[in-house]
Amino acid sequence: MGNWITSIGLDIGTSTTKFIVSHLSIAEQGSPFHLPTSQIIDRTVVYASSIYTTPLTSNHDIDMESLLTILSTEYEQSGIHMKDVKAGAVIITGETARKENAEKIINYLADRAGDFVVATAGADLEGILAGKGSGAKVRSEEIEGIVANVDIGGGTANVALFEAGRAIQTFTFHVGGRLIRINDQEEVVYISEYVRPWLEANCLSHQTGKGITFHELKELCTRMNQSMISFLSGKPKYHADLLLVEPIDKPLPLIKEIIFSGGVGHMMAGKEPSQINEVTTFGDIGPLLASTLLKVSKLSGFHLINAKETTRATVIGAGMQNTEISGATVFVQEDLLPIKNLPIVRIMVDTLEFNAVAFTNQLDEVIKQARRLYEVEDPPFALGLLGMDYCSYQTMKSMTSTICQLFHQHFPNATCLVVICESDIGKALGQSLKKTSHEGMQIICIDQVDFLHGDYIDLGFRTAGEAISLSVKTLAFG
Amino acid sequence: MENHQLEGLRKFTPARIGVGRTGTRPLTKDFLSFRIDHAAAVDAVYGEVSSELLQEFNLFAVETCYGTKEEYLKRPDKGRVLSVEGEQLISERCVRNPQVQIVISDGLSASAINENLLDVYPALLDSLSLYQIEVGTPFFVKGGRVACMDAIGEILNPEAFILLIGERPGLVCAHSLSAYMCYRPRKGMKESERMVISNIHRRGTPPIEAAAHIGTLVNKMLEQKASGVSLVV
Repeated sequence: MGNWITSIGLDIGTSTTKFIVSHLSIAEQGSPFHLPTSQIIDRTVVYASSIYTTPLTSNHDIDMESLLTILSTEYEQSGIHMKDVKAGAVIITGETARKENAEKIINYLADRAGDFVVATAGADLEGILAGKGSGAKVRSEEIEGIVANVDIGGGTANVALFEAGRAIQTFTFHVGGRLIRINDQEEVVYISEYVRPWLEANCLSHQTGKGITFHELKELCTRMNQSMISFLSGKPKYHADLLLVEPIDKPLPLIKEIIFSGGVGHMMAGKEPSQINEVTTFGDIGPLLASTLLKVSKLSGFHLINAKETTRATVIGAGMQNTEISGATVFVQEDLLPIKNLPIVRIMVDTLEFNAVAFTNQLDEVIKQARRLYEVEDPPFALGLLGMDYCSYQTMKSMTSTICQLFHQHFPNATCLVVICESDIGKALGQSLKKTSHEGMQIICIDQVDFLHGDYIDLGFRTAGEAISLSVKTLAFG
Repeated sequence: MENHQLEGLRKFTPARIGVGRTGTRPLTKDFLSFRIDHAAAVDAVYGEVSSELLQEFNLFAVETCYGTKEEYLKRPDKGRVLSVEGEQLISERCVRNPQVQIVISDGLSASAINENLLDVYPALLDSLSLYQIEVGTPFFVKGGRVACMDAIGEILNPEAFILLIGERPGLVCAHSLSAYMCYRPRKGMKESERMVISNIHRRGTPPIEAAAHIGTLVNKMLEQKASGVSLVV
């Protein structure tokens, strides 16, 4: 038994906009002797748009009129019926990643694509999606060691590190093709405020309105790449920390292979510019950044792997990889679905050496914190149980009674409790919560969800057996 | 093959792969672990289900006609027939015509019951009560085979039946439990009417999740008045 769902992806970046349609095939697997399982067994792109220049009215405001014209043309050409779209993501990246832009687009799509498409922005998720689209995730499953995907577009370079098929760390550099723009008179017309501190620290003080030579530009691009690559190799040079959007939250592990994607990644395979007029084709440093990156990274000692997708890596990741499905034995009250933009509140649970007192204290802390943020919503949040190993009946009972009691105490008016976990015990946990909770409390308990790198979750409809579709994301827009 | 690749392959399977050798013989440590696992399998077959465990869940015990362990192993048919005393005890102590009859049996692995009943049984009762399914009087069958459910069905006439029984132990796991289920158990019923969730143990099908799912399956059996291949899941 199998079925498929249509998913769309829309990537609106600092410099380009792309759109894809994909089919996700879902199959119920498992023999009659085991618990059922459901999996997405195939993800195929059925339509890919051409690459558009993102229409902007200023440096970072999207020209909605023009964008909507592009979208309606693309919808028509792709031949899909919007009512069939059951999943997908709009991803707004780089310098255009602003809340106002995202809200406008999601409002437009909500009318045409139903409520299934999520708008999301944020470099973490974007980097991970690009790494899934470029083939870095799959590559990390095949080799021993860590694969870094560096997706370089107009505004930022998003790095996602993958190990054995899992994203383990993400960070972002202010490195991109359109951070510095030049006109055909060989003058600098724009320098992004984000790169100014790094430029000054490196004594590369160019100014807008002033001329710049081919040699100077090349030196700037080389230095920028050297700085970024030195950071990836664990020995930061040329004030690489000034290129980071945010300091990294944990020490960088040893990276074995690098895949470059994004528009700049795409241009790395192109001809190396030798004169300034070849550079100014796009009015920015993109081509030169790409060709110097190729040289710098070849000298770096990293093993370089070709990306399966470069410019379209993020949109393919967004359209094809954003939707997952839950475990096939879960506890769901269907009339409550879909639920969107539910914040995930995490708690570590040691089920092997379960300590009821420690769990109660920890959960009390976590729920109190959640109450300050999400008091009025119902359900207020999804409780994410992390780190669970084998769970005995006794441990589960103790856990569920604590959860029910504290949830009711801190959210006396809530009528729905949502719990998500990684290990395959969602149905047992859900049934136990239902039995323990107050009369009338509605319970949703979903398992086999990987929510390590997400802050919000959307719960969709049933797709195969009891399994529901879901997507985990880093930002939410109402 | 490099070491890390072998490690990767080992993680995929609990089977004994890449164990190494000295001359034509296995390494002492691998030979010993093989002997240990074999001994655990033998112990599981010849072991006894803890009487405290049965008491904890208020389960009385009846026997089949198996006689001795040797006879039990040689004559599967004898494990399908209840002893006269057993039949009598069941008639005296059990509720008739329940919605669901739960029976626990050692089968080929007493340690499967000892290891898993504490988790599976209470979670199963929770699950059934959530579906508002009434459970008959549960009991323990010593020396049972899967089809002993037919003989018990003839006496108690339950609508649905759940048998938690120890699986034949292997060298990977000696305490794996199966849950056999059927609708209207009776003598002469077809094997295709039985259903099973197997491989229930700590490192296999998670015991509490298996129990939760059995509740859902039994609920479907009662709704559709069918089991096995004719049940739509």
